[in-house]
Amino acid sequence: MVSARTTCGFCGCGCGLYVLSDGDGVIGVIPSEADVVGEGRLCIRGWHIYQPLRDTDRILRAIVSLNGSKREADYKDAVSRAAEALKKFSPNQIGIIASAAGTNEDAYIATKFARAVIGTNNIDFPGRPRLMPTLMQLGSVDEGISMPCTLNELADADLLFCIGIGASTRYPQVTARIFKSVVEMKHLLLIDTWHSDFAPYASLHISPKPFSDAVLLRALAGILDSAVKVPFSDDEVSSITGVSSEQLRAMGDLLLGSKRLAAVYDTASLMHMCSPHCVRELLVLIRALRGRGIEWCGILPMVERCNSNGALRMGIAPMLLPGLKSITDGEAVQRACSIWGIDGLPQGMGMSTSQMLSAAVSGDLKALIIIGDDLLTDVPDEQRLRDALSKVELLIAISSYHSPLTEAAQFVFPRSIWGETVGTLVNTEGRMRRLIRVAEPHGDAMQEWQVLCDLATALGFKMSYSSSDEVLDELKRFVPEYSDIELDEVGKGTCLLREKPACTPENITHEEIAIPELPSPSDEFPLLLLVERYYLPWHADTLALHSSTLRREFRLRFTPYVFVNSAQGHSFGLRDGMPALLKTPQGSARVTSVFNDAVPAGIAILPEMFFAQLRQAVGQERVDELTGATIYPVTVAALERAR
Amino acid sequence: MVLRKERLNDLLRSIEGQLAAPIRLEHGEVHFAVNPPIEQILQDSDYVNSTISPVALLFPQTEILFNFKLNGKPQIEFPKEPQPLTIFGIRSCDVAAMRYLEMFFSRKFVDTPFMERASRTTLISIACQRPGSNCFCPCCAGGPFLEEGHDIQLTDFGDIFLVEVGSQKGAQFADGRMEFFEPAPSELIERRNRVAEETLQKFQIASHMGTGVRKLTSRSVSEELWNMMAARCIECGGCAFVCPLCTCFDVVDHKLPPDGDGAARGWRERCWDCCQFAGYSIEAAGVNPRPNKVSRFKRRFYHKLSYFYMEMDGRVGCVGCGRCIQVCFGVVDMPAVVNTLREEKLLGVRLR
Amino acid sequence: MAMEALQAACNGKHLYEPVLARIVEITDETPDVKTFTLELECGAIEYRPGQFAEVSVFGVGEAPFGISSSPTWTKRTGYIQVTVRAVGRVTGALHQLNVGDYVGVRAPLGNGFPVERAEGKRVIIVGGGIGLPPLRSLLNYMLDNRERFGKITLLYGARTPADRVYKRELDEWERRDDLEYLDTVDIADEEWQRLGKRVGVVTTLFPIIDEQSPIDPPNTIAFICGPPIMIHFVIIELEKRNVPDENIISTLERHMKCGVGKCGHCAIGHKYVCTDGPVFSWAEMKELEWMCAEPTV
Repeated sequence: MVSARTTCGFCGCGCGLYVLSDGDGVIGVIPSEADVVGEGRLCIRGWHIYQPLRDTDRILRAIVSLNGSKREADYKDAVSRAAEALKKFSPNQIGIIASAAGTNEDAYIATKFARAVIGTNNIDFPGRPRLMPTLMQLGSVDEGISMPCTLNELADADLLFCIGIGASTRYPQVTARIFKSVVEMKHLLLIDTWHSDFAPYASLHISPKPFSDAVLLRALAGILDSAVKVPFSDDEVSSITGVSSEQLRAMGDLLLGSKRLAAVYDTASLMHMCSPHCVRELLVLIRALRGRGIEWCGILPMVERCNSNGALRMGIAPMLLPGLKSITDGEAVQRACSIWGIDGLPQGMGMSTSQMLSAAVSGDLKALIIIGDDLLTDVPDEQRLRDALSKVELLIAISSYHSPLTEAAQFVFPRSIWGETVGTLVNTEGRMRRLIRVAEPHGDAMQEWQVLCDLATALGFKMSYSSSDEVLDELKRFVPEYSDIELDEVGKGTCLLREKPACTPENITHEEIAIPELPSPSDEFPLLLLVERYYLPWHADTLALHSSTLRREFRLRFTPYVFVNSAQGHSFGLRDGMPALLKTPQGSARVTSVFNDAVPAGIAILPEMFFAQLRQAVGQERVDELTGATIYPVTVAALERAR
Repeated sequence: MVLRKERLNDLLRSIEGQLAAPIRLEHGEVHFAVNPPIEQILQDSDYVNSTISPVALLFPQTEILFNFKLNGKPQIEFPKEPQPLTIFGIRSCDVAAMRYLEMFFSRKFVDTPFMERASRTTLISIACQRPGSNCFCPCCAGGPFLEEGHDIQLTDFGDIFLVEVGSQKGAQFADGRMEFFEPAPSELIERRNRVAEETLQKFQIASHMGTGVRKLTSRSVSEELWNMMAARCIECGGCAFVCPLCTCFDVVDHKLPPDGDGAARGWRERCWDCCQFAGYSIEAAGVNPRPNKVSRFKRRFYHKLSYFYMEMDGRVGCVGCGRCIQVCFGVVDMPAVVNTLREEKLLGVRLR
Repeated sequence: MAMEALQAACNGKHLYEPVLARIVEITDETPDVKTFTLELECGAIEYRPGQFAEVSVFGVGEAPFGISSSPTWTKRTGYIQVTVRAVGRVTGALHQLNVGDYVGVRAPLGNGFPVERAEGKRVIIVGGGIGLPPLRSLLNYMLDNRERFGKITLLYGARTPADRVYKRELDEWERRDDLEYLDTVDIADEEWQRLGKRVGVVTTLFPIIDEQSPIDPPNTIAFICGPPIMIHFVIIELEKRNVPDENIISTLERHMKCGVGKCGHCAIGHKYVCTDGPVFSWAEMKELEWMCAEPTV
């Protein structure tokens, strides 16, 4: 039997597929050729998205910790106990960390739960800070610029301007449009530290010095439009970016030669386009190009998870309401009170994920509700996370799989997984996608929104919906821009969300461009050590680990490693896969040295997931005030054979 | 023989066991569904071919090899014997692929799950008169009309089908159903031959397989060319999963927690695997004989195109169905690669 | 294939059905290596030295192991033996089992050593570390049929004395006068040094043979099993002494799943290690490497 069309639950592409079942259960998938996103293609993860439904290692029942011992519990009983436990705390002592892998309906109910039921703005998801640079600029995008543009608009462009997009496996549907374009002799202008598999196909590949994107883009804009002020001399530009004037002019020529330009960047990259300045400078550049005769331009920010965009739009953020409205937007607040049946909303910005974890450690935050299973992969600082989880007085987890998170929780509610979950998602293009049920939930597994509704009701705030459709109906009333969403259109893939966020960049002045302060390599430490969000090949999320095939693939990369190119590695006396010592002025860490010739000379790249090694070698990270994102200091480093 | 169109549905209803036939899915894609409502079955002129090959009805993406119960001495239970299956509307390329799979799965050792199904499957194929834009079966002895290897091959002439029996299975199928058939006038055979010739002119792509075989086997392809092609591959596995001749699989055990009587139930299943995946050839101790993408990329094309495999298999490893073109992210499908090997340069790609 | 013939082939045993086997004895060879003696439900099986068995731990998986008992021993006792190092999931799970537990066995698989080609010849058996198990099957078979073979020499090298497998049997072999036995370790311990035994890689044993029993190339056949790097250097020593390529016999290792040439994992070029191998001659390996442009070892 073939299901109705559904959407892959892994990355931000959101490819359409059908699920095949026999009498016993799901047995495979069929990519949807008619799908406007996937066009009949699936990556290794999409082809195996059905496998977790066959995996037997799941949380099937509620688990309650009583007097130090854990036991399975009746769901309703666990709900009422958890509600009782929550009642002990005041609103701002409670925090909710939601997931970017749930549905829009899950996220909307989580927002409502936080603001209407608990009365707090302490709600966030771990990946949100990476979306802030884009969000902060979205409000100022001119009418003539298509942002986000669609994947097929990428295919129609004659120049693809890709910044920091990393490996070709990272966002496969973008890769498909890029390679189809280059085969048709269209241009690829690639700015990326990685000499990825795109590089040999780029008309121009620029590997600038780390964190100099904003300066580079401003300098380019200055070449194209004399009215754009470039507060650096040519020499300064070259020395900051490592890009020569000739290369800059070549980039300018390439850009000027295009009539339809599409820019793509990765919001989750830690090396490129990390700051609001970068996104602003990209817009400055695009505006300069429009002045020079470009007919159309689009910008596609890539988002990591299947519902990062949806979670943000549903208000999973300490300062947002659904529809990308601010918590200070009077009209939105009024509508919220009317639809939710409350007198007022909590005031003042809530805590971000990072702040909630710190507050849990310090004791200011006493209760945490954690939804989804990816906290452990999305928050790389495992030690701080474990501290937070063990110190917080009350921990409620809505999870699909056993993990240190569920071990630490006093209450665990079984969460349904992809294929059991019904609802909608928003992909990287802002396109709404449908998730349909292809298998009955195992055991007592419930959707996130169902558990939250039951908790709310037990807390005295009656919340009950008969289906995800009903939740969507309420959402449509809440956000005027969503009022004409039709599920049929969503199913066909024609529903694109294009609401303008209320968020404006208050404290970025037009003139300000951050100049990266990079340490200088020396003989003792000849490498620059960068940290990047790189897993194999997308990211090792928990769902993937429960697919037998994907688990085999991810198995390759769980011991801490650092990437260095082979010539560089050999110069340290290393061989590929050899144990090594990563030495920096701050300290040292034992890692495996993995040769990757996509890494340029003079650079070593440490994946963010190896946080312990990161802390040892790099030192203390800081949190960006503006975006809330984690910033890792750049350090010089050396490698040597480990004893 | 001739089958009048108005008798087709009765013929299909006369089939015992399961019937698989092409229908449209929710958004229009073609799929060979099992026991579909007869009115949903597509006409020859309404479809080219399915996204997933119907060979997947005999070699599905996942299938249980056996179940077991563990309580002291293990008890093993095999799945029930499969029902007879007739696949109607299958195309010549997939028929040619089926014959290859029967050879492969019974060579040296007989693969029980596949062969139990294959021995009970009859193929009623419809020769293609309207090739799709991705089709290149004439380059691969895969069609559009088969001279041998079919069970029953139909040619759609509007109000009648020409019926050609090609095997014992086909003969057995027809023998029990002679009331549906009439003798074929000789000019119909001539018309069929003319149509077969004309159809050859309608293909939009050519893939010079012979040149591909020669260049690859003689190892006269430069490393640079291999590297550039492999750079476009993202190792998604799509080509292997849609290819009707790909047969690699992984074997995985699953086990449920013990139930009330202390018995743990579980099963051993096999699922499609692909030589492009990095973990495919990794050994228990962590050594990987194909550690980089280009070595895996070369492996795929060695299997498909080398003369040594051709000798062993009796045919080149491709039937020209074109499905790999649809699923590939990097334009490194079979015709793209073969033609690159032939031209010895990357076609249409500007290099730095 | 005619339909009837197909059905007949299928009406036999399911290709992937394991025979149930009870563990009757477990021997600790080294801290991470155990030998399992198995009693198959179907009784004693016939096999050739060098063939392997796919052993199942139900619920965990299946893995291939060279059969380390000799066919003659199996005929006498009714049991087979496999020697397992715990490196992964299945081997780790095997090590957790006890006597009386059940595993599944599909055997014999693979081509086995070309024992008949060794008849009347001088036989040199070279084993490295965990490579000894299939060679043990071969050697014990030859010793049980001693008159069919010429001089037999065993060279065995291990990393340390603790890593040597079949320690008791090694002592027995050393004492035999119908077998030339030389062993060595890379790194000695106190006991080893006290006994004045040899230290060095296994190739250092070749000059000793040159002294005490020089190789006569056309009449010599060599069987090598061990880590790829060891095989590589031993082949060089044998080539130096003009042993013909087709008389240098070794095994190729690849990840294996089905063991019957279907799943594809063990393919090297157009050969499948599980059905065309795992035993290959050096001549075959060289030819294969040339044909498929993939390294074999």
